[in-house]
Amino acid sequence: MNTFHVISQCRKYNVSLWACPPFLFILMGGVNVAGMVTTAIAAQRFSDDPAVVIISVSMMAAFLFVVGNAVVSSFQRLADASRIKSEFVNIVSHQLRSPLSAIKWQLELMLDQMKTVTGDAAVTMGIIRRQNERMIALVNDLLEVNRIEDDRVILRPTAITIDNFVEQIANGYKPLAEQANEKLVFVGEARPLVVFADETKLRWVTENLIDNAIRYTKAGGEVTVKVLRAKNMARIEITDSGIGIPVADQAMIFQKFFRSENALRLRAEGTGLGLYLVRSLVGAMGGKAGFASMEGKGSTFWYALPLVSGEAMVQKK
Amino acid sequence: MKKLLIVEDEAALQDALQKAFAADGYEIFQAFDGEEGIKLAKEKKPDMILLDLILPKKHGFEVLQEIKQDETIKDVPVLVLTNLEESTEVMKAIELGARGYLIKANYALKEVLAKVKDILG
Repeated sequence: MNTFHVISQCRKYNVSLWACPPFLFILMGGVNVAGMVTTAIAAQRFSDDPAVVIISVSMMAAFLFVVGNAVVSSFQRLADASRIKSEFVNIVSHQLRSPLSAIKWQLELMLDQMKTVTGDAAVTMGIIRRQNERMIALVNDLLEVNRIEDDRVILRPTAITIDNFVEQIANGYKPLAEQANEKLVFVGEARPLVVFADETKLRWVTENLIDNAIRYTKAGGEVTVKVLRAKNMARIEITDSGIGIPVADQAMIFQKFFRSENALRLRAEGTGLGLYLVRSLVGAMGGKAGFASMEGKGSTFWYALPLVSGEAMVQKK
Repeated sequence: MKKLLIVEDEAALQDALQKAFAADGYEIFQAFDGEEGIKLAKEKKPDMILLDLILPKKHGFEVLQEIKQDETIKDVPVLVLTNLEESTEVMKAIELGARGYLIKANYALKEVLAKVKDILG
């Protein structure tokens, strides 16, 4: 009986209905029957000889059967490959975390023991530590991408006063902005805006956008973080006076692993996962994300989340 | 002196945890697999247990279950310290009675120390 539960089987494959082998199997069966009926009707019109009709119908049936099988089996292979890839990424990422945490903790112990590290050693230690953190972050991003693709994102939503929340995060980036010789400005709303979202994910999204804005802006530039109310949404805009995104690259900017040409020139590191995750996570929390950009002038990246009204908050609690 | 049992199979991680907690004044017991973890928990009656999930001989969840079924140690707080983070695993750990769930790669030793101190009160 389970063979007939097409929808649940397709969910397991985690592909759209049109690429799902069990559904395609049934669809091709339908096409096969329809093709045979049409052929029979057409053959009867052109010939009175029953033998001709039977031969035409059988040939059409054989042809459709072969084509149908080829279609279903190639989609089957594709679906299996995608599932295996996703499992592989999952296992490898979890395996990588073990040595990465060992390096992280042993390094922490060493730095504690040495108390004061100076000169070249301090620089080297700093580099090792940052590279270790970078790799942990990369593994975390890969796991998150995998979860998004398999529809397994873990959300723990709470009520968040987003203007305060974003202001605090922005303040945390002041040192990085100063270091890069940039001005970081926060513009808030007069009234508090409350949204219902996962705090950790929302922090990640916001940090990612502010971090990008600072990194892709040259010294002397400015980054503005703005929280405003747009109808029944809280809208967060991060505007920079940075390198901007070339028009040709704009359509692909939220795609996984995509990095714009000029971004690659300015900064070789980076995975091209950040903006993909930003859009997916904001989407998972019921919001939207987008951008406007002019090459050489700068970009505004924004995300918007539905505001929670007083009554809705009581209900959700 | 508070007694702490660390159940962790990875030597490099076990070593880091042992040093960090010993320096902070804890008496440490180390177990490198699930069975040893249960044995030491019963023998030493620690004040708290740090528990990895993927362990040789016995999975962390089984260890947790056995601890919670043993009258003499069922109230010892267990902090799960792992690198697995699927929602099903977090839920299961909490259902089985773990007091906390930390992803090793995302926490500094100092933060693990703070969490333990917090649970011990």
